[in-house]
Amino acid sequence: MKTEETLIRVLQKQFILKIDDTYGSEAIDDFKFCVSQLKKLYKAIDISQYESIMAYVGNYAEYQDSCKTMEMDNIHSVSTKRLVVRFIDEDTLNVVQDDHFDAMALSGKTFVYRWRANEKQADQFYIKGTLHAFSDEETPSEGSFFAVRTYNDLDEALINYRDNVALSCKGKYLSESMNEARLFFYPAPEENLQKALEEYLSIRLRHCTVKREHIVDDSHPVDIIVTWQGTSHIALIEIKWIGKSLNDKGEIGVPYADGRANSGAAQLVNYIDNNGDTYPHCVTVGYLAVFDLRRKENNDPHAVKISRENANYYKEREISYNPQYETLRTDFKKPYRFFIKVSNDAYQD
Amino acid sequence: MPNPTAIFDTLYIVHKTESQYESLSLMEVTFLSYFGCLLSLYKGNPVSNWGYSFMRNVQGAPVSAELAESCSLLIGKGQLEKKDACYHSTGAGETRLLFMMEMDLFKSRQEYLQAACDCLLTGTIAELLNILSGDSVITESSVHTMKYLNSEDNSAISRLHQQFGIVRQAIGERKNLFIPALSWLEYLKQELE
Repeated sequence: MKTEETLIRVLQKQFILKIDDTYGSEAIDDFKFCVSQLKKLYKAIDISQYESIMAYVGNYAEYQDSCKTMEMDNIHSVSTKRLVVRFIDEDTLNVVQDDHFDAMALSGKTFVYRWRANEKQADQFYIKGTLHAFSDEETPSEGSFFAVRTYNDLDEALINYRDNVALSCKGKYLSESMNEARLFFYPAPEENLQKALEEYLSIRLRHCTVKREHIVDDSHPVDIIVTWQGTSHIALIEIKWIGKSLNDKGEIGVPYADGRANSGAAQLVNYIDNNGDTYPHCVTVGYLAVFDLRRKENNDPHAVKISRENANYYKEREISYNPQYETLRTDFKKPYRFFIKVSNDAYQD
Repeated sequence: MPNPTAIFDTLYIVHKTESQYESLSLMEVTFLSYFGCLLSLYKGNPVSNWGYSFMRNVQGAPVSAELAESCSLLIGKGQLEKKDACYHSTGAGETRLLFMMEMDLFKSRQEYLQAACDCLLTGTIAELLNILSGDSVITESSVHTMKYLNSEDNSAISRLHQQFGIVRQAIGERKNLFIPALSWLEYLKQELE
């Protein structure tokens, strides 16, 4: 139980009091407007694609000449890593040229919001020339206190799926896509793999729609699309499998390895570009999910046993990607590999 | 008999939060209305002024029969829509709200409801519900007797006024109610830690 004195000290350090004490009570309404617009801004852009974002409210002559007025919905089309905006009204803002902008100087007249990637306290405000953190707490994983959880939620869900679902082959659709020993996929496992991931994401993610087989170009549908309510964020998930499958005669089909995953990555890049052309007001991010059933020296289609060493040979061996799209573009996430262990009964030793 | 104040509050809260939340559950509407009621107390109004009452349910959340009835009534009139147990406003609901906002009867309470809804700007609704569940009026109410949360003889109200006194001492008098609202939430948060 905290003492009264401690509680008073904590309350006196609140961020909002600094705004009120420095700029007066009118600035509180500006602060509320600024925060509500920041929340809208972060629904319209993918924050992880920026190095810094600055924002302010109010009309100041020094930046009028370097401003471009635009709708909030179009903001992600602005090509910059360092975004500076002035919020005008509910739907409109000015984009200010970064090299003209002096946040310190402007904070003599009004507070200026500053967000910086990869900082423990990413959300800060300039108040009369000094930076103040919005909160003493660490910035949440979505990158800002004002950002909605979309891609971060999906990333967390996919990591959980990799480590706690796919690895031990949980779920009806995933187990129906391969034989009991988990040495071979059944013929054409794609539909079951899609359904397995779709089912999991539908349960795990909130405030979004998860759909299979979404058409993004004339010839191919992407395996899964995720859209979040009230945001312009879209995730496209392309699914591939590697390892060996059995054909209808019970023989081993063509084995798939790194090449298959690389072709999936190239395919996904096309989907991202095509989806961006179709929905220019939306942020599209691509995810490649590769189900990995590779085993070493697994050449007998009737085998039900395998040595522990051969079963887990590929468990920690990552796929080699060339090119590594995630280093070339910000809308392509690092691919996920879902390694699936053999069943416990399948170990020889 | 429908309670007009509860109808107003329901429409106001659903409308004022829709830029952040497309829809709200009855529990969320009730929590925000309850928070507004406590802010009215902060400003020195008697509990009986609020216009309807709250009780505590077995989960420790405030419930209001008047707000529940208002939601049903507004659905019936097409002034709210319900999807997946959550309510969102309609054109007809907004028209009625704009009309009611001009009525003297509902003018003073808008400040309290607005400040309660504004607190969602700096946190999520889940965080807000979690913090408010630790408020002394809720925690000290007895489930079994279903004691009214905003009856004047509730001893927890005295405790609440003590807390408000500490908040006031810390921040002084502030023109914008948003500041005491945030401060009181911070106070509860500190007590929960």
